[in-house]
Amino acid sequence: MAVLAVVCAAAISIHYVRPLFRTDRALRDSELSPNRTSEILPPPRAPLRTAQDIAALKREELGLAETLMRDFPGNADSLIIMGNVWYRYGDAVTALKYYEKALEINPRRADVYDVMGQCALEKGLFGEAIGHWRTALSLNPRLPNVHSNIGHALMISGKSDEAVEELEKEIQISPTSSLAYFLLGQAHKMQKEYEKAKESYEGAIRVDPEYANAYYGLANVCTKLGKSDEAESYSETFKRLKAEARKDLKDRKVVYDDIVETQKLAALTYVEVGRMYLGNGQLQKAEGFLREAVALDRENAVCLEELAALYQAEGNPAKALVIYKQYRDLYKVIQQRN
Amino acid sequence: MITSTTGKRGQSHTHTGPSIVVAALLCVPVFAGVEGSIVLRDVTKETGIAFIHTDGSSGRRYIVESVSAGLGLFDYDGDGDVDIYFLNGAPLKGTKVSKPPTNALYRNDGNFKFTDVTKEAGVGDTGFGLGVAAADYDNDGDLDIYINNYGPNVLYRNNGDGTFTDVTAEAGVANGHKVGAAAMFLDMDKDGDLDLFVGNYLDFTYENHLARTEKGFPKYGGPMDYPPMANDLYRNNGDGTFTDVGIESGIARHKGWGMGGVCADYDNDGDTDIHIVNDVYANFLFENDGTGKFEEVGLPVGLAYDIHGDEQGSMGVECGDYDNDGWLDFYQTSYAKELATLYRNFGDKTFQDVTMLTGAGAGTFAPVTWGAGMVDFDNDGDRDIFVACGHLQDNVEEYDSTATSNNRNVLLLNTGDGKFIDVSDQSGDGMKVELRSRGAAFDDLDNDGDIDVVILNSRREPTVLRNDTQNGNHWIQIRLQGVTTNRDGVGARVKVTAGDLVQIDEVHSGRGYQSHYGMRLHFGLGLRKSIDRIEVRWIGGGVDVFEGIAADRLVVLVEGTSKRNQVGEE
Repeated sequence: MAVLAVVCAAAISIHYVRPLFRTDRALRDSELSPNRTSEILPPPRAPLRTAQDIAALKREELGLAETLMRDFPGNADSLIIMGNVWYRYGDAVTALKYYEKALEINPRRADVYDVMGQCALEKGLFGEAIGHWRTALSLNPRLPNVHSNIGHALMISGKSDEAVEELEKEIQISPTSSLAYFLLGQAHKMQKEYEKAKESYEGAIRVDPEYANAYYGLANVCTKLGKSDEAESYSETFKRLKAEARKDLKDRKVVYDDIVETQKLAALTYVEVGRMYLGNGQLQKAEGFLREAVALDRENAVCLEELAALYQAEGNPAKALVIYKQYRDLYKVIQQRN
Repeated sequence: MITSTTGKRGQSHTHTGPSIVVAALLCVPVFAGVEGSIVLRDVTKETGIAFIHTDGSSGRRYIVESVSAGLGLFDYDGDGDVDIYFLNGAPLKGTKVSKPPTNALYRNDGNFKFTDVTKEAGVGDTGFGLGVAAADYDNDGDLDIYINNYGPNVLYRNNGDGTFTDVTAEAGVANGHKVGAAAMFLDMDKDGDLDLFVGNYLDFTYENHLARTEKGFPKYGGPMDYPPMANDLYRNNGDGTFTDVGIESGIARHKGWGMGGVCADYDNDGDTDIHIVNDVYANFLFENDGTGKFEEVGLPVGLAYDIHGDEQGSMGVECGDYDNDGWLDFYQTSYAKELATLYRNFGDKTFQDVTMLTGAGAGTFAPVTWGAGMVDFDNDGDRDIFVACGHLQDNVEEYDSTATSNNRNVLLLNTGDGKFIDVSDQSGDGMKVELRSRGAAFDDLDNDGDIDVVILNSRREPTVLRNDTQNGNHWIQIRLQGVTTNRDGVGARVKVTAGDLVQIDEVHSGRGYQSHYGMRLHFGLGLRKSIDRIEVRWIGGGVDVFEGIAADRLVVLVEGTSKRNQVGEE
C-alpha cells in the first residue's frame, strides 16, 4: 500500500448522497430470459480509441453538467457535479471554482471541504489542507478518513504529537480503518513510543492481515525494542507481501489503459447526474442517464446498483432483477480475479 | 612546501617540508559576527555558457528522454579552478538534426567566465548522455571522464595537456548497449586503483517502447513498463584495462531500475560500499566485505524503503553527515507526491527515515526531485540541502492542474539542531528560476570560499548560481593527494576538528543525480578561525593526522606526509 495513494486518492470526487430505493418483492428467475436480459441491459458503448475520442467524451460530460446546472439552478449538487467532471479530467483549479460556488449556496457541505483539503495536499500545501479538513470536521465531526488525513499531514509537518490525537479520533470513528491504525503506529514511532507503535501496527493487522506496511513498521519497532526474532519474522512477512503486491501491481500496469479508465470515470458522471434527476422524481430522465452509465462501464457495480434501484422505484422488479443478476455475475468475476 | 594552485596536475611533488601543502590563501570578505542568510544569485547569463541540453525527442516520448541528464564539476586541466562538463542527449529514432549535439566541456577562466573547449579537449561525445563520473583511473595525476550513455559508454583518458583520448575499447568498459544511469569510481578492493561501477536503468529498446497516455494526453511511460536490469562492476587491472566482475562481486545478481548512486563507507569499516537507488523499487545498498565482494543489505539497514515501507520513485542520492555525529547520512530524491527522503545513519548498520522529524522534505512533495547536494552553503558548520526539481513529464499541466512541468528548486537550511527549514523564498533570485532541472552539482567555482551551484535543465540552458552569502563564517577546503592509494583520495575519509566542531566527509567520484562534483572537500567552520586537527584515512592506506591549520584556505594533503602517520586500518 502506498499511504499517499490512499490518503490522497487520485480519483476523488464528491458524491451526491442518493436516496435509496429498496423493495423486498421476490422475483422468480423464470421471468427472465437471455433475450430479456439483453433488452434491459443497455448495449455497451463503443470503446474510445483516440485522444480525440476522450476530448469528445469530456465535452459530452461538461455539456451534461451544464444541462444539469440549468435544470437545477442554484443547486449546490449540480455545481459539485460540474466540479467533479473537471477534477476527473485533471483540472483541480477549475473544479475548485465550482466547489467554492457550491459552498456559497450551501456552506455546510463537509465533503466539499474534504476534497478541497485533498487538492491542497496534492500541491504540497499542508497547512491549507489541514485548514479545509478542520472545517469539514466542524460541519461533520464523524466524516470518515478526515482525521487520518489531518494526522498524516501533521506528521509530514513534523507534528507527530498532534497527529496522535487526530489518529486516535479516526479510530473512534472508523474502527475498521487499517490505515488509521498504521498511521497511528507511524506517529508513535516518530515519538519513539515503540511499544505503543507496536500495538497500533498490530491493530492494523487485526483489521487487514495482509497489510504489508504494518509488518514493515512492526519489524522496525521490534528491532528498536530488541525483539530480534519477532523483527525477523515480521520482516519476512513484509518481504513476502511486498513481492506479491509487486506482481499484482506489475500485472495491473501491463493491462492499464488510460482510455478505458477515462471511459469508466465518465460513467460516474452519468451516475451522479442520474441520481440528481432520480432525487427530483424525474425517473424517466434518470433512467436514461443511468443506462448510459451502464453502457459506458458494464463492470461498474455502482452503475448497476443505481439502475436496479431505479427500476425498483419504478415498480418494475423484473427489470431490477435482471440488473441484480448482472451485478451478481460481476461480483463472481471480481471474486475470481482476486 | 608551499605551492600554488596553478601547478599542473600530474607533475611530481616533493614532500620535504611541512606536512600540509597550502595551495592558496583565499580571501573572503569577513563580516565577523554578522548573521546572514544564504544568497544564491543567478549568474548564468554572465558566464558565457551557451550550452543547451537536448534530449533527442521527436514527440514519441521514449523513456530515456525524460531522465537525461547529469553533469560534472571537476578540474580537468589542473589549474586550480573547477570546470564544467555537461552531458547531452542525442537524436533518437525519428529525430533529425542538422548537427549532432555533443556533450560540452567549459573551462573555468575565473570570475564566473567560462569558455567552451569541447572540441580542442576532444570530449564531445555524441552518445545519449545520462551519467558521468571523473576520476584518475590510471593514477597519472589528471582526471579522466567516464560517461554512462543510452548506448555504448565512453572513457576519456586525460592526456595531461588539456586534451583527452577515447580509450573505451582498449579499457573494455563500453558496457554494451544499455540505458545507463549513475557512474561511480571506487577502490573496491583497496589495491590503490579505482574500479568502476556502472548503473543501468532499464531494458528499453525502440521495439519495446510503450506509448502511454493520461486523460488522453500523451506522456512518458514509467519504469515498470520495461524490464529491470542488473548493474555492472569493472575491476581496474592496473594496466589501463578493466575486467567485468559484476557476477563474482555480487553486484550483478540483483536487478533493479537503477538511477542515481553514491559510493561511501556507510559503516565506517574502512572500505567503500555502494548505494544505488531504484525507480519505484527497493533501493540497493551493496555492503563491501573489504575485498570487492558485495552483499545487498538495503532492507535490513533501512534504506530500501521510506518510513512507510513504500518504494519511492527514487532519482538521485547524496550523502553527508547532516548532524555531525560522525556517520554518513543519505538524502534521496523522488517522484512527485513523494517527499525527498533523509535517512539518518545510527551507526549500528541501521538507518531511519527522519524526513518528517527533521523537515528535510519541506518543499519537495509536489515536484519531481532529482539532483541533491548536502552542502554547507553558509559555512556555519552544518550541511544544508539543495534539491533540483522539475517534472519528468513535459506536459503535466494538460492533465493535472495541481502540477507544473517547470519548478523552482528547493533550498533547506540546516538549523544546527537536527532540523531543516525551507528558505527557498529568502535566498536570492537563483532560487526563483523555474525549469525542469535534472542533475545538480556543487563546488566553489570562483574560489572565494563558498559553494556555488550548477544545474542541468532538460531541453534548456543550464543554471549557474553564485553563492553571495556574506556572514563572516570561516571555512577550509581540502584536496587529497594519494601516493600509494588512488591519486585523488577517492573514498578517503576526512575528519576535521575545529574546537567543539567535528565534521567528516569523503571524496566521492560520481554522486547525486548521475553527476560528479565535490572532489575538493569543503567544510564550513562558523566563527572558528583555525582547525585543530585533520585526520585522513586513506582507502587501502594509513591514517594521516595534520594539526594546527589556519582557516579560509585550500590545503592539499598528501598521503604519508603528516607528522602523525599511521600505517594500516583503524
